[in-house]
Amino acid sequence: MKSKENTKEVFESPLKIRMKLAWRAFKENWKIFSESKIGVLGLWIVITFAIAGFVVYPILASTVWKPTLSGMTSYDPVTGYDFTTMNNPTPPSWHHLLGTDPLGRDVLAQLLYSTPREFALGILAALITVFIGTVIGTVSAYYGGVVDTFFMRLADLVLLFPFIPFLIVLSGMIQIDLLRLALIIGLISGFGGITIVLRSQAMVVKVKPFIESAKVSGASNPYIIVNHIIPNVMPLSFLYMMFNVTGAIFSEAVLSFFGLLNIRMSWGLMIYTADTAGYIVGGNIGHYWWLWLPPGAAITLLCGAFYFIGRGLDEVVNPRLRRR
Amino acid sequence: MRPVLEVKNLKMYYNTRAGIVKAADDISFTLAQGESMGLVGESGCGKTSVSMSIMRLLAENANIVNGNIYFKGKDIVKLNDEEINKIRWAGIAMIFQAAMNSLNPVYKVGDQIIEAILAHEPNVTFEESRARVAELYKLVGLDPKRMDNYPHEYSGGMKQRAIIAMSLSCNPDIIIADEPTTALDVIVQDMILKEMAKIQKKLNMSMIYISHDIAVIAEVAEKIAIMYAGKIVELSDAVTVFKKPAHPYTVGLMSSFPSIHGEKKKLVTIPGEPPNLLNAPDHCRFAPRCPFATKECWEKMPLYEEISPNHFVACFHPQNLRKQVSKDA
Amino acid sequence: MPEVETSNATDVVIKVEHLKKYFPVRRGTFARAKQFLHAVDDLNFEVKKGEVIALVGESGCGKTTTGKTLLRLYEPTDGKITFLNRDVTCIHSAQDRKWLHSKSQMIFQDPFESLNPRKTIFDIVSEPMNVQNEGNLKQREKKVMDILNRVGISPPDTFLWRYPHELSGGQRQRVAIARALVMNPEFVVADEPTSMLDVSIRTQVMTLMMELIHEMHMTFIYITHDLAVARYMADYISVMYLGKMVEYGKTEEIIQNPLHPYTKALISAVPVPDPEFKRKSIQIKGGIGKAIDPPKRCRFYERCPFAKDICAKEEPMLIDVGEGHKVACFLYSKN
Repeated sequence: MKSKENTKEVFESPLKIRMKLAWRAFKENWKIFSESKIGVLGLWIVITFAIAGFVVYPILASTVWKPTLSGMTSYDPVTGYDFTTMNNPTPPSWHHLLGTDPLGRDVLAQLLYSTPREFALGILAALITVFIGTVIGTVSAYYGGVVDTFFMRLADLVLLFPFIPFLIVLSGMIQIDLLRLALIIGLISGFGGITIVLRSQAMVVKVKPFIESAKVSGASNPYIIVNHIIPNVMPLSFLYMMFNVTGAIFSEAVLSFFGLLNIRMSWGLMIYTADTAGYIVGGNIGHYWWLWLPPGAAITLLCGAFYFIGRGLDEVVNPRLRRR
Repeated sequence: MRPVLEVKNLKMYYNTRAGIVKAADDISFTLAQGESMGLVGESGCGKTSVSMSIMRLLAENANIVNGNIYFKGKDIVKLNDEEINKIRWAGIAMIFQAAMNSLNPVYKVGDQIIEAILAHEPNVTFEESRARVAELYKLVGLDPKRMDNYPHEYSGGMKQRAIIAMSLSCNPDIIIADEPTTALDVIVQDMILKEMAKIQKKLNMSMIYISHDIAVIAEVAEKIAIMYAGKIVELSDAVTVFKKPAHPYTVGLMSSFPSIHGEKKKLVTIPGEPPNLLNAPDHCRFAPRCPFATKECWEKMPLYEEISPNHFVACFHPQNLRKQVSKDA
Repeated sequence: MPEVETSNATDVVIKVEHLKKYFPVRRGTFARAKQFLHAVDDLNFEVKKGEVIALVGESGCGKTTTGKTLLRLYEPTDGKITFLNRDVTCIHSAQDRKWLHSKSQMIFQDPFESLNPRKTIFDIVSEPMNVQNEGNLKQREKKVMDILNRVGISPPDTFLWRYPHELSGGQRQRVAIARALVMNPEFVVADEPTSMLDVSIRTQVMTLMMELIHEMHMTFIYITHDLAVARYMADYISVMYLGKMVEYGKTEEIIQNPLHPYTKALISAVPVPDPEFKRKSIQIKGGIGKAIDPPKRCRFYERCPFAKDICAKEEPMLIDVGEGHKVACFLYSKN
């Protein structure tokens, strides 16, 4: 009788129970993740950048850096020009903590302004990649045959595809802005390596008896893919998402450096500006360090941080790597 | 006769994140020259931990907390790595669980055995060791011509024979066979067991068979130790263990085993599940599943005592039990 | 010539006629398979309601393939399967497939692999109902609780939201049984359900299954390599060797009076938990091979100690030697 009563309680809100289960799983995984020093370090770097870009910049822009009474927008990252300074670029000073660029714009403002855009680009591209990779990978692993062969040969083709030259040509044909770039990177890497990795993981899951068990219960193929195969490759997808964020940010930096993108401001563009003005040549490198070091370090740190998070997640996803 | 192996109060614990796992708790037994012993127990009862302690092949988080293991008078527990390496293979050899799958697929089977010989006896020449492997092949019932075949050209039974040949390669005094036939089919299992028993008699070796299958042990072992939850609960010669079992767990095991010969008896089940060895309790570990448990069993750990000559039992009510069993029958 | 007499009675749950399942053997990447592994070759039998038949044999004898083909996890190469008087050899519509799978179920060997590690016990046990769109959530909950209680997972509500890795092997196999029985299937194939379990747990699970079979009046095919287990579970034993059924009969008849040399060897090789018992053993040669495009002769010919000339020339048919005891061996043929 007592258990009957409990039953009702348990079943009052299955949703709540699932939330609790998810929370418990999260806590367990967090415990493993938090033991990986490199992962936690990565997470802290990402959090720092996120705070700087999403919190610090809007506050600064609306208080200290707001347009002056005379309409001078000396801290606008794109159009700003500080008339009080002479001989741009100027080295760091109290007015401009990281100095100004050859066009007299504040480097710190540019750096902070670009941060949310880098995040958006990286995460959007990675989401598209992982979505495509997971769907194509599981479908081609599950059905096999012609579907599998088609997507795998396509993946081979994409892997061999000259990515940068393609974008150079493409940038001549259409205007590549941030959103388009995210789409292009997402599509191209989605059909490439990640599909092969997730397919092989799905192959492992596909032959497990619980798939047969579902078939014996009359489950349809889409049901099995959605309910049994995808949940079992999801951790790996998530892991690859982290690595893909790194890849996307990096590609953007390279393309901006060549001046191929139509975007307002980015870390790559900051270096491009300094470079085209001739400040990153020969002895100038050491002298005008504030032009290239902050954006360069930001690219390295953020890319590295996402990669580190991926390494930390690796220990959660692959129990074999765990230390006892 | 001086025993070739003597295990005394062996305690081997694992330190895990969750606590201490008492995998082998106060294990004592002796093994004489030419004797074959069986170690029976369910998975997780610590039987493999005992063999790993004897071989000193311990995991990083495993410690021998207490006890001695005397091999020919030398205490294995106290030896350093170099000395223990001399004993492994040459003194005590081991056939690991699923060892037949451990043959390296890219080397010829014969060469793998030769490599094992050369690693332990550097004075032996290649030709000598090759001749020895041919001898061993004949001994285990394999054609010496098959030495130059690769593992995938062997069947499961042949691989297992090759593994046995490998374990014999350095003339060990003791062979520990951990589930030697578990992965094999019944007919091949039967052949391998017969072969092993024959070789053991012929070479007058000592043998420790480890298995979860009490019927397999009954076929080959002269002496049987029943393990439960990290402890030996009963130890005696095979006939006594099978005909006059004193520990309730042994009785349960015997009557829960479906037999193919004789009358079809009703199967008796042991209720419950084996305990978790993590932070194991200090009372009798079988008490929760035991039909004869009394208050005493829930309070103290029964001593491992000799209730009749060469019959060791760790139970408070072995005598009681015998009466009860006969009443039931 | 039908080797199994056709019965007109409607209580036949599943009937198999000339069932064949061949697997192509891969030869290189690009070449088409020219050889075939005859995993199941010309199998004929029927199972009546409430009967338990054990398929016994060594690994690679085709017993699991038979079970999976019956449940249509594999497409049969040839032959006919009749399930509850409906031909299910070829299933075209999704409706037919759902009907078949609502009436038949399978219990798998490895309880560690047959439950999805990312699903809770409730999800696992209720999945068949979920797939078949049966009942609403409340009804499903009640059914899951009832069946868990029945298989000895109690109290069930403490287990509902756990994951398989939090359960012991015995408990997992009970959950797998609960999942298989939650839809009250007519027919269940159990593929070595106890071989991965410990001795004391194995007996518990065997006893549970026997109770459930009698209680729910189910028809069971019990696949096992262990004749002793088959003896306790089954009413009939069918011994398979390389895709062929070599002997079939009532359980005790097979155990006490085996006729086929392979059955004899199999029984004599089972170790006996009695050190004083001396088994009489039949020596057969070598190990089990693979039936890749086998020649037309007795498949046991190479290993048989009693082989005659005819055994090398013809394939023996499964013939009745009295009281439903059937054997496929020339030693017992009348001519």
